[in-house]
Amino acid sequence: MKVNTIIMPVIENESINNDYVWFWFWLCFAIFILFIIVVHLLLQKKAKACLYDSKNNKFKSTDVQNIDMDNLINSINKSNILYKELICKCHPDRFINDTRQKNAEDIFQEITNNKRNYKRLIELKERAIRELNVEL
Amino acid sequence: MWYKIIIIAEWFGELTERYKLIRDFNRAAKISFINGEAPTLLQSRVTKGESTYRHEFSRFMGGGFRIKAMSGRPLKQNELIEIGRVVLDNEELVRELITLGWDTLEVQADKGYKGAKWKLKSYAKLGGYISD
Repeated sequence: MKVNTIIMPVIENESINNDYVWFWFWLCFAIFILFIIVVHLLLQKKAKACLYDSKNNKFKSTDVQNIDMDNLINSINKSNILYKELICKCHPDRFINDTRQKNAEDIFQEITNNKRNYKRLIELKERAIRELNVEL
Repeated sequence: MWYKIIIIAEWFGELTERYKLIRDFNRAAKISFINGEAPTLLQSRVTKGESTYRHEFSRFMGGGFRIKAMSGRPLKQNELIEIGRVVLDNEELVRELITLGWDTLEVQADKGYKGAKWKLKSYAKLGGYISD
């Protein structure tokens, strides 16, 4: 009887100790796996972000966002007014029988094609001032 | 298993790019408004979108790109259309929106009940895999 009562508590303590050991083992294993995954993702992301450029024989990055937001906002707010001003001043009919008529037609065509692109309209405005001698 | 993890990582990457585009737009609009160049403050946000405008890359419950004009008055129809046309004429931006999962462009003011929306797929000038 006494032997049983002595042995039983010892066995219970051993099972509890074994549970703790396994808990810490699996926890460490999970942390290790997580570390491996993070390292793999970091390395994978760096390699995957590049596309191959055969011309220069190197990889290009795809993370570059080429959208000019400042131009977009300016186009929303100011392109309409600038467009109306430019088509009025640079219309080819104002340069009939003039040496600048061909330039005026080219510039007018560009203005029409870039009606809502403020940055391009500014460039065309400077070109119109330079080539057509208009006051804008 | 690694493939699924990469897919999950790519999904988060796309989510980051979507919110980066929203953030860049709002930042540019804010700076323009503060400098006095813009008469109204524009704000972009993600919405549910129009279910009939969905395409193969549309994001679930996040296909709408809404531009809200804080004008303090109801905008006229031609003003709403003009704002939308500026975005739609920028082919690069439209393609970027489509690849990031947007399918609907919405424009509205903070006052009034009018708005306008467009199907982005129709303005991307796609010639192959995605077609009507």
